[in-house]
Amino acid sequence: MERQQQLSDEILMAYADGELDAETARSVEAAAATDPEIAQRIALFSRTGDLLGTAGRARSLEPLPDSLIERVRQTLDDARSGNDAKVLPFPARTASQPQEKRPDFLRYGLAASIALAVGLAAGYLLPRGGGEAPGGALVAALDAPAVTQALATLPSGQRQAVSGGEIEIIATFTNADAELCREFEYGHSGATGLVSVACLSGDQWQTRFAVVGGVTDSTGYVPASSLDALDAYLTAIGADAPMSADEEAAALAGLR
Amino acid sequence: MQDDFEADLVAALPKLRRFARSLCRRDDLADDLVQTTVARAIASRVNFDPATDLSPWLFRILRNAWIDMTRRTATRGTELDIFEMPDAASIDGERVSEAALMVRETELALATLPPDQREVIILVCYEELSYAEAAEVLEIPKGTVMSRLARGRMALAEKLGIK
Repeated sequence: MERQQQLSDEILMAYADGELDAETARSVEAAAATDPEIAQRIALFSRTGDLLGTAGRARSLEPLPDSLIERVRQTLDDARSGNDAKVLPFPARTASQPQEKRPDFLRYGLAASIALAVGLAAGYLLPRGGGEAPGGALVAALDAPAVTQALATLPSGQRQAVSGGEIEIIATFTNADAELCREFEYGHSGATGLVSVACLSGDQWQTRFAVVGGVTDSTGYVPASSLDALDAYLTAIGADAPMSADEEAAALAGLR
Repeated sequence: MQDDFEADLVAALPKLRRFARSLCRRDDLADDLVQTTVARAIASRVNFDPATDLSPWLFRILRNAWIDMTRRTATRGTELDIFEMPDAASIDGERVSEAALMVRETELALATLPPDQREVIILVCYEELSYAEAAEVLEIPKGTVMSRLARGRMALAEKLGIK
């Protein structure tokens, strides 16, 4: 009876697929050696496995089509208010004002695209002809403890040198999930940096958004498209209005 | 310098896309799925255990995104034929060899199987996941993976006239 159970189709298939432990495999082999019907059922699973494996390999792994990569960029381009408004003087900028709710289709698609930018090392978001691609290294640097420390303590509008770069907090707000979030810029002095949003999940600051375009000195410019992407992102996460200095101080004090 | 997670994620994109195409059979939807998957993976990366393989974890996110997509499509009232016949153009060549013909027949037979069996076959036989990994992707017990896979392959053998 137990033997019958052991030699179910599933077990014979697992043998054909090499999924059995050595001991069970030996007992299957012993049974197959004396019972042609068992051998035949094993062969059936081997055969289907081969056919399916061949069919699977015929669906070759293609490199990502340009259209998929381009679509990400395109989505961001669509968010651009106009081609003329390429730059925005950095010193003039204060906290991004969350805008009135946008249509749902925009919220979903754009938020997805923007988050993708983080995963793809931000390279696709670089301005054309942007030379070296600092995005990936910068995104990685956002996990540095010094950055986390600054997020938890630094008031908006202040800068601080952290792990080889400089961070400036732009604003503090809560998102639709009532998580505490901070918009900030990070980079190396004088070079193109990141505009980023991190939110506090439990006791961990998580980078939720990052786009190349922030600058860290007062002579630089932030591409308008980066800020449009940021605004769309803030809308998508239901960002509340930036906190006042007092509210922010209270919120940060609550973290300690 | 990307961190490992991001590098692995980017490296997995072609595989993800192939799986997405297996699920939805339409390149435009497949690309939507890949994009959504990446977004969700980034958003929930803290839930990923770096000691495990990234692929099954990503496949599960993609499959759930696909379920969401079909659900939303269904509520819009637009039927989406998930398991339409594979496009012959994707496997034919100038010279249709016997092997290519067999691949074609296998694909056609596979397309007629019930979705739950087909899905397990794609994960194990096409994407070469282990039974345990497939179970993780589908969020079902390994025993269920095995019974669906065995039934699916028996049915396939019958359709293909394999004794």
